[in-house]
Amino acid sequence: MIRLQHIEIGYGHCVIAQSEEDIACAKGKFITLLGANGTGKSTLLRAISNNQHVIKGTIYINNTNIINISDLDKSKSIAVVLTNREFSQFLTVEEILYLSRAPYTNFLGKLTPSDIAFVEEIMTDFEILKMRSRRLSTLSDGQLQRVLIARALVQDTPYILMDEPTSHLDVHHKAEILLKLRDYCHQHHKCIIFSSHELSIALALSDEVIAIHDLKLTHQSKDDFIASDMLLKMFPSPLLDFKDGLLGLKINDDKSKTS
Amino acid sequence: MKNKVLFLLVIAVVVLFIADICLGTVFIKPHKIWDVLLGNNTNASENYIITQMRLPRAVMAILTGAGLAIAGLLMQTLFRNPLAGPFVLGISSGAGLGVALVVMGSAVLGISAVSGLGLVTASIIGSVLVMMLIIMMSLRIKDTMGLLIVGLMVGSLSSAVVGILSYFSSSEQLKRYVFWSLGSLGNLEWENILILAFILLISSLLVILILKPLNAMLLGETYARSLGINIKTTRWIIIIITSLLAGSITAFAGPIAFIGLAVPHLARLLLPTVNHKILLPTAVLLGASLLLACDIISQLPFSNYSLPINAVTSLIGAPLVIWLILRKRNLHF
Repeated sequence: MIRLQHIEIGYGHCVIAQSEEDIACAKGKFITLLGANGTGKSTLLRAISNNQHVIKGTIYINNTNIINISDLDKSKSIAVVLTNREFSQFLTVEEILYLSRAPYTNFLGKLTPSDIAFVEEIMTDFEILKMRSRRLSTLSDGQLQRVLIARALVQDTPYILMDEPTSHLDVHHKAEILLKLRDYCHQHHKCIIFSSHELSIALALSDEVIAIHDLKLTHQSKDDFIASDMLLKMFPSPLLDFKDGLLGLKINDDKSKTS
Repeated sequence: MKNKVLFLLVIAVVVLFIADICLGTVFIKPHKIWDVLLGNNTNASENYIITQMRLPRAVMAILTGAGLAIAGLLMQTLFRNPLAGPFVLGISSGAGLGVALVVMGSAVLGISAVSGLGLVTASIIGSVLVMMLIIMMSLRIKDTMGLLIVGLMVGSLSSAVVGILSYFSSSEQLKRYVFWSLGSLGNLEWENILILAFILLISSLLVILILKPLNAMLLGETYARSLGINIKTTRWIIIIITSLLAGSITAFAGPIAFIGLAVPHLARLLLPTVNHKILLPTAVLLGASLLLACDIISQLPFSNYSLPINAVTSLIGAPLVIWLILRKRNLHF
């Protein structure tokens, strides 16, 4: 369980998002983080993963204050997918996945057969076996994004934070990867929190929603979120058409309402 | 592939090492090296040439080449910048400033008669001071790129002072400084070489400790931290190793150009990999053999002349790197 207690995040003294209530993210939940640009989605994810930009309040992971968790222990409970591309483009797919077993390997980084088997399993699950020995620089944006998601899963942590994991994918692959992640989350009892601008797909698939709007953090079940008409408040745009609290476009699990 | 390259490089180092001892103004047959070392050779001049001149040079070439390759690779990984080299933190500039102060500032400071030992001391003091400055700065500067800029600024400051000193110094003093800055692997006592060997040994042991963090840093600092890697400690160890290596090498051999910057690239192009477990031994062997080769050429075998080592490293090395990049189309980094 990740618990945010009376959290206030921001920069210096400037609060960009806060919550009076406790926010608790449980294992087995696929949680979307929604908010307009610049409302602090990435900041919140950084707050949870590194305790950065926390002005007030406390973050608990399994009831331990995050301040008291060592980097190594944290690396065994939280994995991240970042938007930055600072890694060496010369690494191969296989290498970046093997390196991400670092929390479990010895001081020389020696992989055990079980490390290798685990990486194989993830590569099979995410259909990247065929590109295992390709350099990252030769991958398309979509392939790279899939590798980065697989990289986080290789870390085998109960909590996974993803900053716009589907931003470079086409609409089919967005749906495909999020569906896969949701199933993975439910099957392996993980807690995945991902920020997204892909309202329809994300809302169709997620269990819960954390929304940032008007400097407030709210955490609701998906149905409550849709019923509260929050989307309309978050994106007050004449260009958009929200029906039943959703954007007027839906994923194909409900063909009758597709406009 | 990897083992084959490493094996060939080991052979290259051995062959070049023997060649470096044999070749020079006078040719000495390879089998005589054994005789000299075992004390079975009666020719006094050959004994002297081998034990006091060529053997120390060749050992120095190996240590210097290996040390600069390690330092260069660490700096490129730390700064994730293909242009970084062992001297990017300004260490050789500090050494140069120390030497310039002694050589050219002697008139101002009232120190006369600069010995070879004086130069080494000045260079050590200069590089240690810059090293301490950089370490102090790195306590305050959290940002790795900021550290890179500070290193460049220190270099710029030092060369400004050196420029002023040169402007006011006599041609004799200027010549002495230029000679130092051209680098030299010779004229060193065995004690000095032992000190360098000891520093290289310590550095290699420290590098083994940070092999895993170095590889994790290929993912960028944020990902590396999320993998439980202690970035701060790693950064510290990298700075200490580089300062020790670059500082001591510059102190004894002068600012040897090119090797530290180019060898890591050559190693990556040769293998090709970015994994430090393979890259480091390759770079060490490649650095050693490249500097041995450069030393052989700089001695202009069978002639009475020799070239400054710094000119040779760049003359040989630069076309080599350009050719490899043209062949492989791009720089792997």
